[in-house]
Amino acid sequence: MKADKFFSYILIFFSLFFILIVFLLGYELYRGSQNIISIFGFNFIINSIWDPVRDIYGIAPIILGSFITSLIALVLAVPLSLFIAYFLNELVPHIFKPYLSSLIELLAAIPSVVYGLWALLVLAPFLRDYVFIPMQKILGFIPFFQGPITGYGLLTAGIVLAVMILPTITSIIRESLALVPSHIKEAAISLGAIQYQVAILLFKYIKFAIVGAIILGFARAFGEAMAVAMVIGGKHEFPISIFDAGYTMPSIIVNEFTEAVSNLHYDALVAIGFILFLIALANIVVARLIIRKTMGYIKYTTV
Amino acid sequence: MKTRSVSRLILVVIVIAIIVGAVAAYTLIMGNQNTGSQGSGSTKIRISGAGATFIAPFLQTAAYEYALKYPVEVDYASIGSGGGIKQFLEKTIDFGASDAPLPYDKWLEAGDALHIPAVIGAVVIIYNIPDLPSGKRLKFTGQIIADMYLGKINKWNDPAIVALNPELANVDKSITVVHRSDGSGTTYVFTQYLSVVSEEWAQKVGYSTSVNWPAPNKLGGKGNEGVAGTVKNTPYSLGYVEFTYAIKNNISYGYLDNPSTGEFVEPSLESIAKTAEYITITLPKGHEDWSKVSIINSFFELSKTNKNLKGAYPVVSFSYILVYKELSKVPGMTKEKAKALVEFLKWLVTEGQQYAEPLHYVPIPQPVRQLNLNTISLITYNGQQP
Repeated sequence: MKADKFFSYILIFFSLFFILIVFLLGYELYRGSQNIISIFGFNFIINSIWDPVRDIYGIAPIILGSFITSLIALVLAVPLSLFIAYFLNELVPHIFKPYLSSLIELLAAIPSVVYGLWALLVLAPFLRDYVFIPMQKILGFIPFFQGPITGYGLLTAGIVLAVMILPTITSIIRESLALVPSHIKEAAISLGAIQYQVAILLFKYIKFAIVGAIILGFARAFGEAMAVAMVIGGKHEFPISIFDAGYTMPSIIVNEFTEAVSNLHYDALVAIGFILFLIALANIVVARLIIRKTMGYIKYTTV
Repeated sequence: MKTRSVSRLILVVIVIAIIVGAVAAYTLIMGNQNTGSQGSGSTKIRISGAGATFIAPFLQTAAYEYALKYPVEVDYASIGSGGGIKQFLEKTIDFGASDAPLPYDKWLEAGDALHIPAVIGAVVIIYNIPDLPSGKRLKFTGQIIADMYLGKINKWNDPAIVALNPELANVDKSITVVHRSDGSGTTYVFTQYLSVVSEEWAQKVGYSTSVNWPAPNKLGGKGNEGVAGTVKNTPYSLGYVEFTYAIKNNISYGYLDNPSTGEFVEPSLESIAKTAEYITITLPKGHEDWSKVSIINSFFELSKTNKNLKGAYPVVSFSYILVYKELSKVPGMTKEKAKALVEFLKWLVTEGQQYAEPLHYVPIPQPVRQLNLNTISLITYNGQQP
């Protein structure tokens, strides 16, 4: 009994310790952004000029860039993840399943700087010549598909991010699919449902998990710094097309932090870190709530 | 059950063996190191520095060579100039390194910081024009480069460019200018050059480690490798990289005009050192404020009156070591350590300069070495020379 209590105290201590670290981190970021908050206030988020020489800092285009790249990544990665997850769970013979799924998970284990270099040297020129230029020829009449194409910019960053978040989303959807009670599928098949209808039924069954997976994937894409910094093109202005160069919040931190000599420049980067911290926190909380809900939902219906 | 406990036992044995082996290897290596050093004491003195990434390969090579001769180990962390200055001001390191001199307010904050220019760097213009035969060197003036980065010159067959490079007359293509997207000393030097050659640049943009780039048709690359990679992959683009980087990677670069003689100068170890040599007379003493120091500025000032400064490449800068004049205020500093630091710095600016050239750094010229030795002789520990 005594040992039991002792053990639980140790556990409580360590868990509190981690909670404390999160709070301290948030507090430090908040403290570091005090200067920016008092000088620029809300304008920091809605202004579009980033000029370290004159100490003027506004990050509206940078926030926008973060959202655009993450959304591009989701649009590309989510449908793919659904296909892959269903394929792995339902169609692949049992012997190959572990190998295929670890291949997908390997994508998550590659360091992001490797993705970045690959995107910089190989992917960007390839996309420019074989994807973007034909794409502009076909879709050029839509405003967001106009403008010069260099291969570096929001769309390239979004595509790299899509590859990076694919394993995250796939593995959550796969785990949820595995949790669906088999009688649901059996019932559907016994009623004569074809493969496609079964898939739709299963996806409907785990819809909360899919939303949760999307949010977690979004969080990963939103927070990625290194790979994006390599191909985003580093432009502190509102992009005119999805081919245009831009910036994201983590990539500007990784790019400018090391040589930020002026105090306010440094503070502005810390303030971006604070905003990222808040967004990440919101993301994780929402995703966890939704995933918990779906787990409860599945348990409830099986009983 | 039995096989399981046996395998568990094997696992435990393996883990213990690894730990014991690691500890033994570590003590063995450290022991060898300690006995290997033949100094007065049995342990080595460790000096730590941090700062600019540009100077890191030179400092690390120099430190390695120094450790072969003396029982002193110098650790240098290349964390960027901003980080180096920050750590220097917080006194968590023994010396800092920065591509730019301390800004005036930071110099005041430090109290008695000394500037020691340790090597010279330069920025070169690189470009990618598929129509040209490879290895073809273009000529630029500072004004043309500034106008390109301002977006005022946006075609390769602009009359101003064609006047210097007739072979571009038929290249009717838009120019994409490539810049560093990360904050960097290279950008600091390059934008300073643009500010000197172009009134408009100075007013609209100014200079810093990262600036608000005005040209509409531009791209950012991360690091020298990012700029070089982007230029290589983007036809009709132009960018700027550190001289050493261009040399190491065999990238062809353009000539720039010398404001004194009007000639077009190829960036080379000689032409870069020349510029630093010409301006040595304008440098302040090591303990004075260096925030206004700029080789580029001084060279252009001199050029106004002296039209005979031949063979000098204009976009040149120092990379600095920062150290306190009174070392006793640095936590963990002892008299022995202070002495070792002073000796190392003296060696670095004289004998140590021989390691600069093989790494494609430009060594500092003789007059600057003398200036540095005077600066280093000011260093004290508790008011006395260590």
